[in-house]
Amino acid sequence: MRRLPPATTDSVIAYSLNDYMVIAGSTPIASASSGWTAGSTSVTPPATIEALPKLPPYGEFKGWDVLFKPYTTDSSLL
Amino acid sequence: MKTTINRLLTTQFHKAALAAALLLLAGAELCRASSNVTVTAQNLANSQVMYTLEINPVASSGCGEQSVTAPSEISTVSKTGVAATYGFQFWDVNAQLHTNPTVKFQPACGAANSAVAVYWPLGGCAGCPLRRRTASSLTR
Repeated sequence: MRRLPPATTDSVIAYSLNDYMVIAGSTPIASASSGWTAGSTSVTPPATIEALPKLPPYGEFKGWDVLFKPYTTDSSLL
Repeated sequence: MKTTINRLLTTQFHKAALAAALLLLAGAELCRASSNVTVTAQNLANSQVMYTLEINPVASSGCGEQSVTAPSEISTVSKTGVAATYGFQFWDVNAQLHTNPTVKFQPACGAANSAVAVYWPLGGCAGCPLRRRTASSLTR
């Protein structure tokens, strides 16, 4: 029986520009179309994720930066 | 005025690989206040500073505009000889986001300045959280 390869997941990180560091223990995701469990920082694509507008006490959402992709200030990310 | 990081270029390989990021200083008026611009390369996966590329006194540069350039990829070599590579993601310069590898900015005189080149591990490191892609929510 043929086995499927393991699912590939995306890491989603919250980074504080003011503090120059990753915000550990927090997910920046408010919701996702699929492949995401509330509170998790991993998403199984394809999925559209929506950013939390605020992450107290660190500040407000500014944008998404995906490795090797253009920066976007849209709160939704496919 | 132009400053390169000669010290780094003459040390071990793994440090030399990181030293491709340069701090170029454009001199202007003299600034009486003493302050530094600290340029570091940081691993986004764990917020650890991989290397401090330069700690440059702003006063000696005349508080002029500064330019920093990050290489698209850097590598480190562990004590066991395993090479890990990292891809440039963005600059965090004094809490301002810059997505281009080369950034020009005006440092604040009389205050600490920080220019952090943020990288994501692409492979080779033990325990790397390798993923198909990494999305970072940037907050300030």
